[in-house]
Amino acid sequence: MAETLLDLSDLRVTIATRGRSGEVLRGVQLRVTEGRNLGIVGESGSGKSMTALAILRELPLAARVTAGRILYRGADLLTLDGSRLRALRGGEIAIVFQNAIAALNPLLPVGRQIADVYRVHEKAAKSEAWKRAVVLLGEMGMPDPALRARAYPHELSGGMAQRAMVAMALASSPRVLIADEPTTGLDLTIEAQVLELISREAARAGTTLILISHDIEVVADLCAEIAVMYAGEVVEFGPLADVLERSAHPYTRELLACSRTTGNGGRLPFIPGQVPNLREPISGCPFAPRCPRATDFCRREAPPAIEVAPGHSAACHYADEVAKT
Amino acid sequence: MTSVTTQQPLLSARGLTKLFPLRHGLGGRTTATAVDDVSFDIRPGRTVALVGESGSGKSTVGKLMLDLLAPDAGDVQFEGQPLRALSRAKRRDFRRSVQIVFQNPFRSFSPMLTVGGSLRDALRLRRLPKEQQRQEIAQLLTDVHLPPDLAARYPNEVSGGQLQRIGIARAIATNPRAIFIDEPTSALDVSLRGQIVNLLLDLQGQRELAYVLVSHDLRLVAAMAEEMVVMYLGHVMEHGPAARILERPTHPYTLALLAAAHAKSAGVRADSRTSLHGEVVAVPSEYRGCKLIHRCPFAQPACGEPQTLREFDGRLVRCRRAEEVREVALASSPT
Amino acid sequence: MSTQTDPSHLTDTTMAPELSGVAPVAPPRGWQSRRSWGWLRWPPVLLLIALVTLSLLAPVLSPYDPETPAPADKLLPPSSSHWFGTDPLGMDVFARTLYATRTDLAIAVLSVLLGIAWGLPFGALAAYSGRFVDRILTRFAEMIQSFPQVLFAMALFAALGSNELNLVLIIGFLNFPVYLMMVRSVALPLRESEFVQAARCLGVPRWRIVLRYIVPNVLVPVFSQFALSCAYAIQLIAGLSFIGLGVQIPTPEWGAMINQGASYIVFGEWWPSIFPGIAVVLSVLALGGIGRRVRRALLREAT
Repeated sequence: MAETLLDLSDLRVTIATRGRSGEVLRGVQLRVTEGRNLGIVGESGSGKSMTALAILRELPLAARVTAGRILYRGADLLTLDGSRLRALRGGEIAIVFQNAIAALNPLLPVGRQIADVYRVHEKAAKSEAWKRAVVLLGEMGMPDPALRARAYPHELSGGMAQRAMVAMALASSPRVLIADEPTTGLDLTIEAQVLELISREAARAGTTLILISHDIEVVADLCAEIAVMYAGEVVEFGPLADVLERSAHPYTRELLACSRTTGNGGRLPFIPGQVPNLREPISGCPFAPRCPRATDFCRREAPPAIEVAPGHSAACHYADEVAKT
Repeated sequence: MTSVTTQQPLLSARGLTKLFPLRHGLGGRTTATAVDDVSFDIRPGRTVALVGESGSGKSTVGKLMLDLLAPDAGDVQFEGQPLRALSRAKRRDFRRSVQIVFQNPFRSFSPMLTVGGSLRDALRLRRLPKEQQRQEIAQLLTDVHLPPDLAARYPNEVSGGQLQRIGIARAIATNPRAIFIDEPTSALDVSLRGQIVNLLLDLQGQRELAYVLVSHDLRLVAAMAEEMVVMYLGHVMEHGPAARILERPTHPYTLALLAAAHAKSAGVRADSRTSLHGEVVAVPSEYRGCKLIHRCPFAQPACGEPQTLREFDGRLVRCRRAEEVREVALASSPT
Repeated sequence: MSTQTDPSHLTDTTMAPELSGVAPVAPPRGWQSRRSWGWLRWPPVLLLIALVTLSLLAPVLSPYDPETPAPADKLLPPSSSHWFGTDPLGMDVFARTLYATRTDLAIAVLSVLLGIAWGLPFGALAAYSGRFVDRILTRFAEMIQSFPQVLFAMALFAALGSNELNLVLIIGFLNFPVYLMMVRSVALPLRESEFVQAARCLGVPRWRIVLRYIVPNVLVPVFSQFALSCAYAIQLIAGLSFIGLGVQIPTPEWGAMINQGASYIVFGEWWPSIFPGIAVVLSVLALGGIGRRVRRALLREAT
């Protein structure tokens, strides 16, 4: 029986700036099972990156967890003490960010940054850690790894820096790897390489992947399960095929239509309106103002998560009907 | 799709070349050719797409065509006259006729000016009296489906999708004939992109606009462009009707781009014949052969010689092995 | 499937730019953030307002002449007739402290403004000229900044003479490189920013670009630095006057007053020095607090 690695229940995070506050995560419910990569898809304001930061307890200073739990293998990360947390972060739970060149330490050569993972989490000796770092970079497809290990992040191209960051994340053979928009900003041909690298190496190391992206296709290729987020909550969750082919939430349907349709001289689909302003309280379903199927009931009552198939649920009053269309 | 007219093009690039210094750690100033002998025409009502990845030179081509940069060789002609030789009146006409929409809406507006203030500057070239200016600004905002009272807002009070539409409003404010559109949707959420594209297509139909579309999103190119120019490190690699090139590319680079895009959407792994190894590496100007040589799966020693654009299968292509590439493309094409 | 064009009045605006896909490199927001008036109640602002008001009301608040010595009344301790006591020359310390507020604040503000007036055009020039001119101006600014300020001031005073006008000029000169570099560093990237390119495409003439697009965006960081520069200036003014340069007796000025009373502290006559000293501390705290807050607020918008 595969272990549940991560279990987020009713996670709520509020950000307060300049006297005003907004709830950026409004009751996030997620489960990550070992061996089944999870993709989190969402657009601006969906809260997908905030969720990743919350798991690692790296939320911005103005943000506060106001409710909910984050269980990692049974232990609540939110109440964990400092030393245990430090052991987990970068150890069992690792993260890869979007802009690698900016996310890496600009003052240290990348080889050193990877070696530090070995030194901190495995108490390896300096020279041995360095050697292993170089080997790891080579496995990540870095050309001329011994030379590149001595390079600083700004001396590397986007794709190479991303490889270095993935190396750093996988060095400790983590149980969970969170990749937050790892290929945004990279060229199309490099994107394919990096995604392939992440999925291959994660599988090899027995690491379960949480892949966060605004691009549903990036996620579709690599993940077994998908969570779709909108306005700070998970609106649909389930196995890949179910969510993509039998979507039970109108937002998922609309998003798929926008992502996939190739207009050929005709109109391209889009979703009119904007994401709701999270600084205002939201009544009813957050997607209702933009939803083609919204009813008055939707605007009044926030929909609960309804299970339409085993392991597949959507936060829509009409989830069953939506799934059948 | 409008048929190609035989009249003189509105704007044309002729052999455009632009060099930039390459910084080498150990002194020695080499240059890289950011734009290398690029030529194409822009005609009313038609969209030409410049396709390429980072370093391809497509944005630099845009700046050259808008006279924000001066070419090192070749020139840009506006209605048959080189930009450098335009009279003052003609130059004003040029500025009025050719406009630009930027990629990142948040960077393309001064944060200290209101939306209306920025738009007012766009109207200066038309020399309208003050009262008419206000009406015109309201009309422009309505044309891009925005409420006219947005004119009093500052750029940071407005959402990304709205700001991009304001950028389009600014571009059409001068009643231009051609608009250079730089990655119009890449900074926007997926669910909002269709709106921008539809708006651009509507405006093009209403006003007979010529577009130069710079994009790495092949879906966008398929939706909007009749003609396509594929660029790599400044060179035009393939140039011809967009639909035909997308259907059967004859250049290894185009093939790799399409394979990568397709691999993403269909979950199909790109294979060794259709993917490039390594990464984009800037090439010094002295080298005159094919710039893809280090990464190309079809590369041969002879590719180190200068390759010319030649006609093949209804387009121009810069590759000696275009025939084979075409075969591979047809073989692996999804149907 | 939604393919209709947007009726557009679903306007619930303001999704903050930092939450959209691409992080904007927008310069600070500017004056809108001060539309509300709540900031007036903040202590440093109140303090500054109090200081300025008191200084302006000095003739009303104190019957004594701050510049006429009265040797008979020298060194009287604080009492109901002399709230802060009298100084070694018999002048009322309270009155002098109040009048000195005018002196110190005025000189500070004037000299910083002078520094900005010099620094801004040269900074813009450095950003817009070729490499050579830029190099020269930058080196010049660095040169001035590399001298220890007090020694430099002393040298200039020795050459030009020690009076208030020269004090303003010298401190202005010391501020000039700060603003030159600041304006230059903001104007340089602005030159190539997309909205300037857009303006050029629209045929906006150069002078209008500078005035409408460059200068407003430059003024924001300049403004955010202003109060802090004033705080430093006051310290410099008091410090220089303390050692006898700058403001001369009998003009009331805090540093000079501290200097006057310095040798008497040992004898237990603390009031001629301490009160002006407190005034210096208060004004620097007020200006510094305001300056830091303004800078944080204005520069916070840049993600």
